[in-house]
Amino acid sequence: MPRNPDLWTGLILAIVGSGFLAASFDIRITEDGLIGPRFVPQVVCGLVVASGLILALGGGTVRGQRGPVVPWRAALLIGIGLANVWLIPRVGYAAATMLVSAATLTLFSRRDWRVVTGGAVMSGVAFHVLFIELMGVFMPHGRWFDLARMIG
Amino acid sequence: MGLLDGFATLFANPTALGFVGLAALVGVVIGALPGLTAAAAIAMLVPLTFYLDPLAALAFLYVIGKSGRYGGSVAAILFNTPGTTASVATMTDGYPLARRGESVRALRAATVASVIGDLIGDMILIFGAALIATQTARFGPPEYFAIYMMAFLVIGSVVGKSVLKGLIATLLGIAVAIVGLDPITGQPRWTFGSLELEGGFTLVPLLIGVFVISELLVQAERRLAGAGAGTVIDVASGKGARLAWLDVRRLLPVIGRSSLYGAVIGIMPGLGSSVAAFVAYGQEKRRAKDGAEWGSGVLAGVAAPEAANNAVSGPSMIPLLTLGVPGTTVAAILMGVFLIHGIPIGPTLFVTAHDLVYGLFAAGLIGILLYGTIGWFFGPAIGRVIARVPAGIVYSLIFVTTLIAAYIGRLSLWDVQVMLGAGVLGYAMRRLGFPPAAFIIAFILAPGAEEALRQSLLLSRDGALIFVTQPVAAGFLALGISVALWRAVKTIRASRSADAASMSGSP
Repeated sequence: MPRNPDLWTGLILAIVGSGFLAASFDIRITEDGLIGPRFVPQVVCGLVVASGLILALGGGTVRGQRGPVVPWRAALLIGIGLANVWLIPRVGYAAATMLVSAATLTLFSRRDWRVVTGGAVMSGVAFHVLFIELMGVFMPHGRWFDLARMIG
Repeated sequence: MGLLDGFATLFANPTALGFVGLAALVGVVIGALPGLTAAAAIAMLVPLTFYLDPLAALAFLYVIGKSGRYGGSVAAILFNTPGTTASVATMTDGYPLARRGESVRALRAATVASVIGDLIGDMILIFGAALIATQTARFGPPEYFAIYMMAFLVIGSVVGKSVLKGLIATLLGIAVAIVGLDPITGQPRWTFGSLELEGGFTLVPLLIGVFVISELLVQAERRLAGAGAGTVIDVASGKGARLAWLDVRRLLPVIGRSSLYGAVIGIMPGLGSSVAAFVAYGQEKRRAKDGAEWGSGVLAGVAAPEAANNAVSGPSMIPLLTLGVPGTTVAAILMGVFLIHGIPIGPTLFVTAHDLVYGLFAAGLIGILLYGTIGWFFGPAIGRVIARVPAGIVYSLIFVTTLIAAYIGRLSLWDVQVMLGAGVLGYAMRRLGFPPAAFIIAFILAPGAEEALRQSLLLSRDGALIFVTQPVAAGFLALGISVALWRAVKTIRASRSADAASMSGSP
């Protein structure tokens, strides 16, 4: 984390707020009367920019929590989630869930390969049966292969 | 008569009744899991309720909120780790009691206090909400806009440690709610040509992301640091110590007063269970003759915060049911569930959905008795089982569940990505000291606030002066501004005195 996270957070808020304020001028006004669809977005952006600047200038009286410089385990977990989204249309829900379970079990400190493999297979089967078979949730079939279809 | 109708409605719906029982058990277990809050559990389970009728869905989540608050005491007493933020105060005396071999006595004191506190809170909800709703039913768009503004200001300034960061979190919640088509003109706003963004962001992926994924990200980091649950007490070692009737009689005045603190705090938007628990603990410690011994294992030190944190549950629903403004995260999620099931929330609810509302109240009362029974007889056993389940497996299962839970609502993988993005946002907010609850509550309230603002200005001949000339609207606005200013002044003073103390302490 930077030494004063409030400074950077405030500046980022002010910059992003300005960007969205500029983008709000693209909202077309079709309504007669005092305010249209542009009014609230512009007020909110203006307030975000102003409060971001106040925060950057030291208005935030409570500092954020300290943590590791790069929260790589947290980033890895998000990566696993995104991989799941990418995998489902390619290998189907059951296989994607097994892979995600194996990865998360490893991430959350289960190193024994038997626990990881067994847990991943059980998790894939259990989630498939509960959500797809019993609850009838529709999932796209795997383009490359689909474990559930192969087993029948 | 309303409550009797509620019991009749509930008993005529075996599915709802079954889910109340399930919720009592699930809530205690989830509340007892260190790190997973009741709000996070409810957020994760919301999509599963899409398949239920409205009463079963709402009763399930409402009772999990109650039993989850109670379940936090199990982790606090046995693991020296708060299962929920509301049970941090319970840990102070609960864990020393458990270390002395009185874990069962402490757990049962927590059970009695939670049940009585929750019942008192629910009675205030049942008899107070309908009365208030008769008054608020007369409100028009200007009053509603003022109420929404008051909610933004109060929740934004009260819910976090920093007023500025709370208000920024509120603004971000409103900004995210703006994305999509304008509700009145249908004009796209901040959609940047994306079809997915035209549909706007929906509540469930944001809820799961901000509350559950962010918690998992924090836990993933803690694994790295090697920090697990605290020292686990062997429950079997405390078999000799039981809660006697004399103990209960001595605790009753503490429980009664603490329940009232909790109920009053529960009605106020933004404060919630943790504040109630600490206020009750502080007040009762101050009153107690043996105040100096508090912190070393005093039974009243367990009863006071537990009664207060559960007494919040019922009254926190009053602003939601009478004004359509959720005062706590759990109430905000329940508001989302009402909307998902197509039930407009607000004072007219007592007329338009009379059976549903009173059915929900009846479910709350039955849920209290059920989680009390589960806690009394099986609390120690639940603690023992949780202590043996490896946290890594639990977190892995929760992560896989969130992925499908976010997908279920619209059968959309885009929503899973939104959930992951919201998780990163929630994680960043927690690390930087922005309150995620203010973000979510603002996201839920923003569409109603904008609609009320635009309707008010259409009705008005004097423009924005309508909010000042209408006395009720002006009163709500003044209240919101006063609370925000009061909090800001208090925070600045506290910061200055902390700076002065550190300056005088430095060489």
